[in-house]
Amino acid sequence: MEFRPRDYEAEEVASAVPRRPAPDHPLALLSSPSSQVLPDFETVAVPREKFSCSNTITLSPITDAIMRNNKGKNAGYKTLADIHMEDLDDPESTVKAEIKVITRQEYVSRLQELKGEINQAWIAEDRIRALKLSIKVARLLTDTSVCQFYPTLFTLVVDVMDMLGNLVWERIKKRAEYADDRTPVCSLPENFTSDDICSEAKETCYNWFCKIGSIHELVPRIYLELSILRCWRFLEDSFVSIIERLVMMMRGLADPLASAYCHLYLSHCARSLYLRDDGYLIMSLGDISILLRRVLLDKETVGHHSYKNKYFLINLIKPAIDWIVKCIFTKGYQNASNILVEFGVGRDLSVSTRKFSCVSVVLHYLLKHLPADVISNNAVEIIDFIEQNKDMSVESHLDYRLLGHKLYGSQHSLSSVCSVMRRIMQVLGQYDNLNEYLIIADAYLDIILLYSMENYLAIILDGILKRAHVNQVDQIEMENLQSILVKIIDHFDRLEDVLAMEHFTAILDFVSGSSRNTVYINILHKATRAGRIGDPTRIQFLFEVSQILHESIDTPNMNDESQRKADLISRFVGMVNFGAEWERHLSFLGESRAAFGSIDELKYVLVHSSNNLAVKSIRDKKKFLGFLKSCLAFSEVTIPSISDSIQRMNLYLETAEIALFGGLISHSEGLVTSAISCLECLNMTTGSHSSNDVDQISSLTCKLCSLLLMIPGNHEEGSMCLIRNLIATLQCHSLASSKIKVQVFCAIISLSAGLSQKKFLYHAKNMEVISNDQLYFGDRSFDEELSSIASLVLQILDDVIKQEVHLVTRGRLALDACNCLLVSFKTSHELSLKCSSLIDIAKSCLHPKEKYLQSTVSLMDGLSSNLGDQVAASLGSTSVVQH
Amino acid sequence: MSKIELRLSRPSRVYRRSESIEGKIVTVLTSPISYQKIVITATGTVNLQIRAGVTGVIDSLYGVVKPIRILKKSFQVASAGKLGSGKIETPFSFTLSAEENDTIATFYETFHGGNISIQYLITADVMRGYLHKSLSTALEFIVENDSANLIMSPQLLEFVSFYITQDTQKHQLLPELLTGCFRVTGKILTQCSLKDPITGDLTVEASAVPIDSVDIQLLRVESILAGERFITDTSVIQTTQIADGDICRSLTLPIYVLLPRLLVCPTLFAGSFSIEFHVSITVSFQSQLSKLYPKSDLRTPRPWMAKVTIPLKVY
Repeated sequence: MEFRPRDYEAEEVASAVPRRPAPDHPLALLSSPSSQVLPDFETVAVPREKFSCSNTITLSPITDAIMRNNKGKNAGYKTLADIHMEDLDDPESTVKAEIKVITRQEYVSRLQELKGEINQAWIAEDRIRALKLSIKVARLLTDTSVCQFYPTLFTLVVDVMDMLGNLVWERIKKRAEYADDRTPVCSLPENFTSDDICSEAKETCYNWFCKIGSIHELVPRIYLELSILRCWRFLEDSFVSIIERLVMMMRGLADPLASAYCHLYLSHCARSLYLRDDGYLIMSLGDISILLRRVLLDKETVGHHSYKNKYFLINLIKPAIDWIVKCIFTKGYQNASNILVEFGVGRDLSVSTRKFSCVSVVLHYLLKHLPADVISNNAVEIIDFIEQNKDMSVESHLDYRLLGHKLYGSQHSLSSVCSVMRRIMQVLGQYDNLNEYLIIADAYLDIILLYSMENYLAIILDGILKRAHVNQVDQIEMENLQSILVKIIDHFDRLEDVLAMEHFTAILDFVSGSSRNTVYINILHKATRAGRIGDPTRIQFLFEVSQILHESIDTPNMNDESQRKADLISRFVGMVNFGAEWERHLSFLGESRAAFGSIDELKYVLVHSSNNLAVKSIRDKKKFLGFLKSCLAFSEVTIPSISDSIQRMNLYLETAEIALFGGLISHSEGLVTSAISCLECLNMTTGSHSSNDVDQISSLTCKLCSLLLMIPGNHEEGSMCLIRNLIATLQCHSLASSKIKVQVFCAIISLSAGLSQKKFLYHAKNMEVISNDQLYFGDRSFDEELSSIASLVLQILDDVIKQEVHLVTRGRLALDACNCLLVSFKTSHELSLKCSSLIDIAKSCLHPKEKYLQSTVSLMDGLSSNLGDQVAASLGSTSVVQH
Repeated sequence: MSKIELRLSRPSRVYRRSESIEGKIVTVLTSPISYQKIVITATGTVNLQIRAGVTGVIDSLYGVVKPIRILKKSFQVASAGKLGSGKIETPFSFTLSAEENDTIATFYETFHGGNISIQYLITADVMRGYLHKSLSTALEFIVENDSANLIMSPQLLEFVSFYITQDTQKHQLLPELLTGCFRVTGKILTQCSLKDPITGDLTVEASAVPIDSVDIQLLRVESILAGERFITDTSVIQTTQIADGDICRSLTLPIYVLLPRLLVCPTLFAGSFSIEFHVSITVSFQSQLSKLYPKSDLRTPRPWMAKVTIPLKVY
């Protein structure tokens, strides 16, 4: 068989798609709206991300309380028994003659039992018993002696109360909707008024209130009335006075814990009345404040139980306050600024006309839930107020932090921000504790950076330095410091500006451990975002940073964090650019290789960079050869250490190309040989490849073939030794997938066909590389060699296709081969025999209507009718399309 | 078995003066019976009984003072006939009014007290002649005063101020209470409708000794003329705690006590008996001593308690 002679220039003209200039850029329309949307989105997204937690999470106080309880000191399974044992140590409580010890689980299951009993009694129409049991349950809340357990107890009891409330509500509703003989009278609308209720139902309802009113103890009486609070809707249309009376009644609860949770239940139940007025919630807060103030001032015991730790008590009360304040604002409190006035914000303290005394824990939650605008409008007054109301219930720096976050989240004018910040900086100066200083500074840093208040930034950095050098920086402080540093790094566009700041590097030295890594990651990230890195001192700094990060990478088990570090280091090395100082760059690459040897992807970067340098040096033309050789040597040495064979092969080929480009034929040959040997070990090592890998391998091998067209033959080892080498390598691997084999062997046939042409399709760019078409022009032995290779490959192709087990694959492979043959060889009887047999294989395996099959058949028919070269050329291009 | 019962038109069974009481006698019989007549009787009586232990031995010998009849009304629903088997309803109705020849024209409200009870009953009798036992059943109905009267009268919200200090107490107090002062003030309603709660407020202005509890007690005072003199018995109807623990000073607490139904009636002064009510406000202080008497009655004066009692007029 003879190779088909090709006139590449004529073919290109014939098959070229005519090009026309487009009037508009296809993406022009799309880009304009997106550019408008983007900045908007960004400005909105940042604050939302910061504050979404507090605004959107609607955790019920109940779960919240439980969670807190579990998180507390007695996490998990500390039983009531243990707590009682602690009580025994307390001399006061030893008076108790007998202590009944039960575990928490028992307690909970007992309450569940009681709940079931109440339900049972109700179903059995024994409502008095249900009520009596409910009173018994509610009475449990009188006892606050085991205060750690109180929130859990509260949730359990409230659960029972809610159940009873629902039962009573349903019963009265039924009485209102049905007559005595169970015939429906009316159906109450959702927003019914008391006028819609018949007197019998009202009678029953009032009876319930009377029954509950006759309970002796205060706590169960309040809880039970709250549980059926909704039922007042059957009797009255205005509930403000009722709720206010209940709030007032709670003043009778001296125990702050019991009182706070009672108020919490009130706010929970009052929601069912759909009140517009929130005055009662403010009253609640005021009363809780009064009680807390008493706790804070009182050195003696308060209530039934002496709290050894007031902090602990306040921590238990916090969820209740949080929820009540949240209730105030979820209802859309109209005059949010009024509430501040009611609590005395912005008033002269000497005038003691305040309605409520404010405790900082209440203030803290007010700040947490107040709308950001209200806070920013009254910021200075609030700061004054925080200053005046410092007490131990909440540390004031937490208030300042909250305030800072809120201020950042709101819109305000520059002048107001300036006055607020001036005040804050005064306050900040008073904090000597590093941690508190850091927390406040961290909260206001966003504002400082947003308004570019560089002087304040300098003051803060100076302040940190002053407070930090004395004592050792601990873990929590480190985290805050980290947050501050990251924000600063994030803010500036260029790393140079950050590092140029006074004290920045000094403060950086305080950070260590994982915080240091995080900061360094940010530094590297910032540095690698800006473009090329050329300044030698900067490179030195970043190199050291990278070294530290590299040390922290845990190579055996790479997690996301380590992966990110490795990526950043690779990116940094890739972005380093010494400009014209190539030798320096190359030596830097060498240093990097020595320093970061364990990072695999860095090596790609190193090889790419050195290849890049090589290309630069080739372009520069002047005395390039020595440098080019050192670049190639660097690449050649680096590549073998890469573990991934496919990548290795890719890089070998890349380097081989560059060597060819530089005219270093023997280098190039050596590299191609290495690439082929890669292929060898590749197939050896892997049993099964993913389809992606298969594609990559075959495309790399095809690239290798196309490269071989340019590499001049070697006289000593025979002109085709590389090709034969490749064939031999592939043949060795009986396990390699037939798809790869067929593709590669087809590529070899195409390569042979290409080599047989009088004028090659392409040549090496370098003039020193003599192309094979010049080298062997008219050489008989060369042509014979080619045809022997072709016949050898044809034989192998035949075998491979026949060995393929999977029918559809076999058919497709046969068609692939057939197409390749039709394009590569001159039309002849032998060829048509060969092709017919391939098509027969395909026909036996594929559906007769398969398009690939049909087009291949038509191509063959067209060629065998010998329509001439032009048709062949155009069909050749269609067959390419078919691929 | 034959069954007989009474049903009234109102499920609450509450009726006012000169209202018509409608109802029916329901008989469920296994076999038909003949009767001579069916009679409905409405009675109202004041039962006076002196509990043993309230007074001396001699007084208790008097035992039951003769009940006072305030209503007796009897009429025939049906004359001789026959009741078939199965469920048969016989309706009746009458007006709740005094009979013209009756001397007592007052309908006291239904009341069940310790010594005095005022009760109204409807009895239905199916008379079956001498040879057969008559079928009969009884049902209590409740009489309330006409509320229209109350609306007509002006709302008298008469508050009385009270204060409790160590000086107002007649009994012996703890020494620490005497040395450290205390002062509890407030005001409370002294006239109150049955329907309304007792309201008021209370403020602990000062107390050197921590407070344990503040309770409001509703007391019932029943007096019965037995022989020559009145025998008076006071009993607690309801205790309501309004403060639990050592509450904040100068913080006003509300007093809000619902009157228990049936146990309270309008204050009543009849010739031979009277029913009055008192409100007592008790402040208990925290004391080691009180732990020795865990089940102590609030009415007994104790050294760790201070109290004030105010009469309450219920209408």
